[in-house]
Amino acid sequence: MSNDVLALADDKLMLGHTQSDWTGLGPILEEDIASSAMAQDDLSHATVLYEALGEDPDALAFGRAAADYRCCDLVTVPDELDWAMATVRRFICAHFATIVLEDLAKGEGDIPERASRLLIEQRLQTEHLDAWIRRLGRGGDDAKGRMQHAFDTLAPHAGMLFEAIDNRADRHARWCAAIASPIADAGLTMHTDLPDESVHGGRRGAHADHFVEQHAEMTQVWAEDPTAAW
Amino acid sequence: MSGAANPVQPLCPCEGEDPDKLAEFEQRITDGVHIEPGDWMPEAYRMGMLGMAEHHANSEIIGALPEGEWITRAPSLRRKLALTAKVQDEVGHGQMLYRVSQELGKSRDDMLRDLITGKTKYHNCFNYPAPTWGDIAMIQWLIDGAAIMNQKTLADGAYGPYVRTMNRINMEEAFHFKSGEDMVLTLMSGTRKQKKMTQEAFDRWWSVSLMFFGPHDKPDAEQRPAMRWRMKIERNDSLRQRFVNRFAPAAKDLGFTINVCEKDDRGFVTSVREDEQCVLDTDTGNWGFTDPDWNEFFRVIRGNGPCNAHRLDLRRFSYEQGRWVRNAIAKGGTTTPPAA
Repeated sequence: MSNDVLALADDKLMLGHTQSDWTGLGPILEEDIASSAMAQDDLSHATVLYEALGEDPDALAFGRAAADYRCCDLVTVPDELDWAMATVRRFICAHFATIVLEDLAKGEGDIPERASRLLIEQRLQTEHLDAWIRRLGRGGDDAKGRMQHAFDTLAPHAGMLFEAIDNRADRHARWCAAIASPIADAGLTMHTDLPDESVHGGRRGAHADHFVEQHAEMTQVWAEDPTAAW
Repeated sequence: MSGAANPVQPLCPCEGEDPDKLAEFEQRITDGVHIEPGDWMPEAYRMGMLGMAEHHANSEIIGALPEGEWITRAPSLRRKLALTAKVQDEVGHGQMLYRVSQELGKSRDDMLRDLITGKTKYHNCFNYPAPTWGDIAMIQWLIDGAAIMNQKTLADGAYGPYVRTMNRINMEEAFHFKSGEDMVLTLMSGTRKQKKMTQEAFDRWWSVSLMFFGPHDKPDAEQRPAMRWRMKIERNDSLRQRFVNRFAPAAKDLGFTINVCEKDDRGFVTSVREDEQCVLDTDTGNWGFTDPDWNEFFRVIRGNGPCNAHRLDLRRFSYEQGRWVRNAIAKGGTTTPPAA
């Protein structure tokens, strides 16, 4: 259970990190604001989950070596400020987070209350992102092409969301069912198999270079003096 | 003092306007009645308010850029969240102010295009670099502090939609200022390295803050349309003095040295000397200060500042990379707010 909590918290941290970088640069002011609100949700969710692990959230967020993070590769694949990539990534990850939080909300101890609280915001995210997948998929040939390209680019990374987590086959099936309807409505396609467990990725510390680079940037100021107050 | 009460004739291009309607319009301003979008107004007033609101909106969304660049490097979860929320607020202010401008007759897309082609301007202070985390503290403390001081007077203006927007913006700006104050306090109570970084950032932003309020006023500022019609409420020099009276003693209390600095073309300080004029005049109650370099101000406003090209390039990139999204929404006929 705590492995799942740390994996989801690290996903949320890096999703919030990558998506907050869009603040001020979104394609439409109203969606810029909404996107930034979701980035803030993710950073806050990471904080709540780190606290659930009984650790200092800042020490976990900034004070670990890159190999000790348990986020999947998908959350730090560079989007090159391409809104299609950013939207599809968020959509894929939001549905994954919803499923994990639904399971965590049924558990025992301190976690369920926290997970239930996060789930309210998480469902708003998935609703918002489902609408945008449909909207952009149906928004003409140019938009449809860009969105399909984003799905094709990110699909190979999506299966690794389920690396080294509990009930992976069941959760993968539920996730596939959850994303199927918006994707089909949008006239788009995505297929992701569950990777073999022998394949190591970010959830077991085997991070891609893009994560290591973003980790260095994220911790740059903090690392100048980890004992200082900022 | 209201502009309409001033006996001096207006210096405004009102030829061709109905004199009775103009008199009624000016009387409403004298009486403190808000002008609303559907009301009669001289064309010069409409154009003046449009220019002012559009410039303000442009400043908000360009102002999001220097701080936005530091979101990915914010050194704690709390600071990262606060900075993201703060920059998000600036985008929201831009959105509200573009709505005010749209009602005055210009589409949002036209305004965004005029911004990225350099046809319209934004506030000069965002053409300076923010090379350290200390600069982010300075923007939130000094620049937002200056903005609040200015915008509180603008909330006493005559154009209803702009006044109501100022009131909303000022509430959020007060949070930004608190955040900046907390950052400055934390850094100036921190390690020697943090204090040095923060003093260097203060040196970069003090003169920019003094320039924030604009150049010295014309002697007849009150008779000119901007103040006569309560688009602008207080003289630049009066606002600047109030700013210095508020922030010079606060800076000294926090341990800053107020310096007069020379800068290179990149906006980096090349030499400093303590500003000996920065003392309290007990007779007037005013703090003295060395005037900023107005040649630098006009050089930057003409597009030759340290970061003018970089800020506009990024804004242009954002506009162009988002075009397909706006087109898709237009084609899909959805209810999402359109770009224009």
